[in-house]
Amino acid sequence: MDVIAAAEGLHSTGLEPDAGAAGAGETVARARARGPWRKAWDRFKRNRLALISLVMCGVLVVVAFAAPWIAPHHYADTDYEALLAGAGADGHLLGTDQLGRDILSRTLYGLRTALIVAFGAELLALLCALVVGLAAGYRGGRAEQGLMAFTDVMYAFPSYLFAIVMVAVLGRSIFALIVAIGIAGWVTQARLVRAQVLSIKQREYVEAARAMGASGPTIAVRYILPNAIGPMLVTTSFAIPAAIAAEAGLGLLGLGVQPPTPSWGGMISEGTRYLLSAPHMLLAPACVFALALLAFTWVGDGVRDAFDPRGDRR
Amino acid sequence: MTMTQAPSGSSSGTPGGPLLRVRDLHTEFRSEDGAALRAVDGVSFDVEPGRALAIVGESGSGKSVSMRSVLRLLPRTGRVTAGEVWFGGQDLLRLPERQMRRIRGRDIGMVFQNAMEAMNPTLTLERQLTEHLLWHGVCTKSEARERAVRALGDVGIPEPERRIRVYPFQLSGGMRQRAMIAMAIVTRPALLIADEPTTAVDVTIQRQILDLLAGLKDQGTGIIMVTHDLGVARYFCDDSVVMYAGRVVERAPTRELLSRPRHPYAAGLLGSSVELGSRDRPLHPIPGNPPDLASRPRGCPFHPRCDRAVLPRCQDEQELIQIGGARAVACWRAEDGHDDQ
Amino acid sequence: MTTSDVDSPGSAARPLVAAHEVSKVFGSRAGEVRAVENVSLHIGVGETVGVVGESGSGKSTLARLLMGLQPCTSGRVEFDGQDLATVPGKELRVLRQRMQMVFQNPFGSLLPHYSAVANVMEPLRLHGRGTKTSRREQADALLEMVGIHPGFGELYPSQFSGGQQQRIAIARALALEPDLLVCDEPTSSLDVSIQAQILALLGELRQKLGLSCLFISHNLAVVERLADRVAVMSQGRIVEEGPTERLFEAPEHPYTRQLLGAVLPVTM
Repeated sequence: MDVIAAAEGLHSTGLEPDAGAAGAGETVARARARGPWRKAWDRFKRNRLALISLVMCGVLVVVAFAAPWIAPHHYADTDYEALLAGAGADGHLLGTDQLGRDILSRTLYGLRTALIVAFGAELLALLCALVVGLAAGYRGGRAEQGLMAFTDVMYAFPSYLFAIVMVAVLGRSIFALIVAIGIAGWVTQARLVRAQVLSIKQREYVEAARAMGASGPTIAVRYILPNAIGPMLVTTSFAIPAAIAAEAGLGLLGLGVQPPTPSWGGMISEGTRYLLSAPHMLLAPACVFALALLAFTWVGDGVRDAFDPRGDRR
Repeated sequence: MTMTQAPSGSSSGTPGGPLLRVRDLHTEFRSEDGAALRAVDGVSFDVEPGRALAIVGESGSGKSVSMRSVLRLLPRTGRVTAGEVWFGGQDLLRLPERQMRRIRGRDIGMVFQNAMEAMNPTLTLERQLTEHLLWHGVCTKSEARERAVRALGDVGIPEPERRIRVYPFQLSGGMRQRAMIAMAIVTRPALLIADEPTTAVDVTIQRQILDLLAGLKDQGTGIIMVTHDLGVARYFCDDSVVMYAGRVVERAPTRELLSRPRHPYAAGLLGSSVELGSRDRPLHPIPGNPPDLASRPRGCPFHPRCDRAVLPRCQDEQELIQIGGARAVACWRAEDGHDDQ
Repeated sequence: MTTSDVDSPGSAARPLVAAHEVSKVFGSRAGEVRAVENVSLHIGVGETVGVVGESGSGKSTLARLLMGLQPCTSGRVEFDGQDLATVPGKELRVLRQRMQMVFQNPFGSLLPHYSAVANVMEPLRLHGRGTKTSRREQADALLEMVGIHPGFGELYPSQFSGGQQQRIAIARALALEPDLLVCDEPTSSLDVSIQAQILALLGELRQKLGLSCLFISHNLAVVERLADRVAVMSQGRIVEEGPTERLFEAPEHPYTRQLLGAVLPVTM
């Protein structure tokens, strides 16, 4: 707990201000408000690796969404003059694949697919998790029983199998992937939200809020939710690289987005077929894939350390 | 700041000298942003065999950190930067960790505020007590159980033969606190360090535990009692050391301290204590708050809250000075007399 | 409701809150726990009633029953003549404006993601009192009253010391100008010198604002100092009740005597 030094300027016994209060004006200026978010950010900033990774992630996101403008070619454009051209070939910085499509462009578009799917899926998972978890944790009763029963079923069901079924039902679109990965992941998160809510519910400030005359929904949304978000952010930031990997994994199994839309999984799968003759086909997507995974995971590490209450103790 | 004089009433009276002699102890913590925070700033005291020393102070005064420094049980961010801790003819601060582990728990027993956290919840009392004895090589396996049962009986746990088979969580709060004391004394340590041992228990149990510790004291164990409760110090401790912001501000026999405190902070603590039968005596709270470690006032750390402070004199460093008999105080105004209190 | 209220100072006034033979039973896997058993207690207007007892005596549960924060298993609690059990939820929340509470752990009871001034404004906002500006002004005045410079209002609870946090919690409890202030061990987690500050503050505020108080503590000396009338609880029951001076000078129940005997004197 950081007791501000400036607090010495506070009054002493209450009703009448003491001499110390006179000097309070100047000390007020020194004291900086540091709420829980601000503190977390300050801690995050101190983690050099996490900060660099965050910048890296930002670059990846910008590059992904700028793909239509910065990619030298369209991902589906075929150049029959240059099939399986090596890196550095004329007009193709990272070479081309077996259909003469530009690897660099396809990697950039693949990044876009991966990020849209990962962020979309996690957003979906987070929203479901917050609503259900909050209801289950705060209200208990049937919502809680339902969630718990549902999670047990979901746990028993392999999530890849589930995703495969979803894709089979919904078709091989980005939307289907978002739903498949999101639905496979939200249950774990909902259980986590529930656990968080249950523990926050025991905190004295919730009872204090009831004593002030706050209603149930107010307590859940205004007091419990904001304090559950920190830990949720931690799991979400770890879930994003997992979702990126899941998208690639489905692509590898041939269940990714509909070709010719590029996905890393699909590119890697094709690349392995030409591993000996054209290793560059595998290398470019694999490297960017690894880079993205690392960057997002390190950000996750930083977020976890930033919200870890142990960092607050001495 | 440095201590120039040895605490009074120390080696002179006792032939073997004090049991524990702490000199000029400094401990620092590294804060999150890398700054060094001085938690203990030149603390010295002695503990005699068969006597109890109270280390009195409020949270953040450095009293618990001092004890952890003595035992070398600081968290990773903490470090003893200077000082000596003499115990059994050796300086504990210079001992290799392996030897220190032998001393901790065998020659120096420890009792903490919360017994539940200090004991292993997955082992029965029997396992914990006997393993403790065997690890320290105090006795043979065949004697260990007998000694463990005797220790439980000594701390007033009824039916020790039966109770020794239970797990800590199966005991009530008071019994658990006793079991922890049994754990601390089963090796017959020469010195017992008790850090707020009764803060978490009810008054009736507090009394029983203090009486139990008094029995140990009578058998020659030296005891350090870290407490914020002047009533506990008064009831149990022969001598007291008052700490404020990492420093010893006053040292005196407990009764003298409580009847005539010389340091304004000690006087303020006394004026702040609420006790039975004092309904008509107005409270005299100390204004303000204790200083943050990161921004300690210059000179006497208490001067911004002190009603007797005179600037700029009190902004100079003030060492602990002997003021006759067994007393020492770190306030230059202590010599001015205290008729105005 | 015994003879004791005839001679207690505050009892001439009508009771503000009264518990009639309330019991609270908690069900748990290990069986039923009778936290409060058949307790009757009232607090008159302007009166301060202290409840002392050791941990597990049921004193905190009793406070929550009186606040209507938990329903009684049997018996009833009347606030200003209204039976709390029959008041519908929405009206109960309105009624809560008149009874506020100060908790043992000030940091735990303040909203960590709100600044000090926002914490004090929150009850006003909840009950739709005033505008944002007037609430802010009121909160600043309250902070000033409890001894926190309003210039520190933007800081968050974790940036204050324990004593300051408790002051903020007191300011928040007073924001709605309640008739009854329930203090559950308000100084137990504070250091001695800070405890004295808070006790002095509570004493002053109580007089200035004419509050009725329920003061719960395990510390007999603290209760002796603040209460007009004291009830001693043990194992869910009130074993003795009476005007403070009488109870502390001539305790009748053996348990009260045992408790008083265990208190360690400091100077006397």
